[in-house]
Amino acid sequence: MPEHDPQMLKGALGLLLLQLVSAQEDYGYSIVVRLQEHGFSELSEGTVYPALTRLESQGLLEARLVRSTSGPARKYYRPTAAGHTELERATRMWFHLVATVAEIVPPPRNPADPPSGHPATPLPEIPERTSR
Amino acid sequence: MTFVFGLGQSLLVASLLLAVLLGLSVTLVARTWRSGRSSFTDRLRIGVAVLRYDGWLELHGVGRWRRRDLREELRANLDDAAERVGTAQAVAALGPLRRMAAEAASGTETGPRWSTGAVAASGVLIVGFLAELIAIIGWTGAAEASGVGRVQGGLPLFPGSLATWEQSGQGFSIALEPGWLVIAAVAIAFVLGSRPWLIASRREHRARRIE
Repeated sequence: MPEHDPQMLKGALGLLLLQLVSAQEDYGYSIVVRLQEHGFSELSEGTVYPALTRLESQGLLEARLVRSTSGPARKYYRPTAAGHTELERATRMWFHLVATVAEIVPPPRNPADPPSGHPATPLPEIPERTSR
Repeated sequence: MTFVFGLGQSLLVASLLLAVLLGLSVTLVARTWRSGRSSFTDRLRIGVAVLRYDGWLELHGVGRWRRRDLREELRANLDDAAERVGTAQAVAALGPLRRMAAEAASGTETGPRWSTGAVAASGVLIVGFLAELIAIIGWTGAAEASGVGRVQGGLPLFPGSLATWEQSGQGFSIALEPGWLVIAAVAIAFVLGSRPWLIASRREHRARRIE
């Protein structure tokens, strides 16, 4: 699987983290593992932990400590009301950006297909997100 | 002979004290009283990484309580990661701790850096003290050559200083008031190092969060 563009990833990191903790309250290292399982192998702890701290400082995430049997208490994050609002806004912005870019940039051609000036495959449908 | 024995004794006591201090520091860093599956070396490695992270956060002006939270969070995450991939890899995955601390501090409320100010002030105080020491050596020579029993005057280049040289029996005594220049330099170094005006930005940050 090709690596993701670091600059693009940086822009989407907040959205990814908000979405992950919105789906399931979670703590730093577990979030890193989940991201890596989703194919973001280049997202390391050194990038994710400060991003979580920033989101918490901005009031988009709140945290609580949960005792752990194996070591120190873990800090579990979940979105605040402002975090949920930001998640919806960022999701809308993201899909708007993807749709706008897709209008100009055709999907990459399959190397097996014959060369053509037109897109080899139809544009993917952009799923609509319903607000909560 | 007695001198050599005395020196040896002093060295022994100093070495013992140093060893006790070192042992205490290592115990605190590794948190040996904590029960867990990781080895002493692993705990020490994690402890050192957490301490280094804390140091960088401190340099970025992150407050004491916030730093404690971030330290504990990192320690818990490292413990978890170490169990899964090993301590060396868990610590390496953090990347440069300096960058990580800078990024964590960028959204965190920062305030005055009192410890940086204290270090800067101490540095200036030591330099000022050494400079006055050098100045007083020359001044003492002149006072001694004057043949008067008691000489009092200011040191050149140190306005406000007052040195007193007095002959007593076979030897002499010297008293020195450092003067306002050194005190002012120490105060300026403390203010520039600690940046007390960041109290205002911390209040602003809190106000923004409440909004």
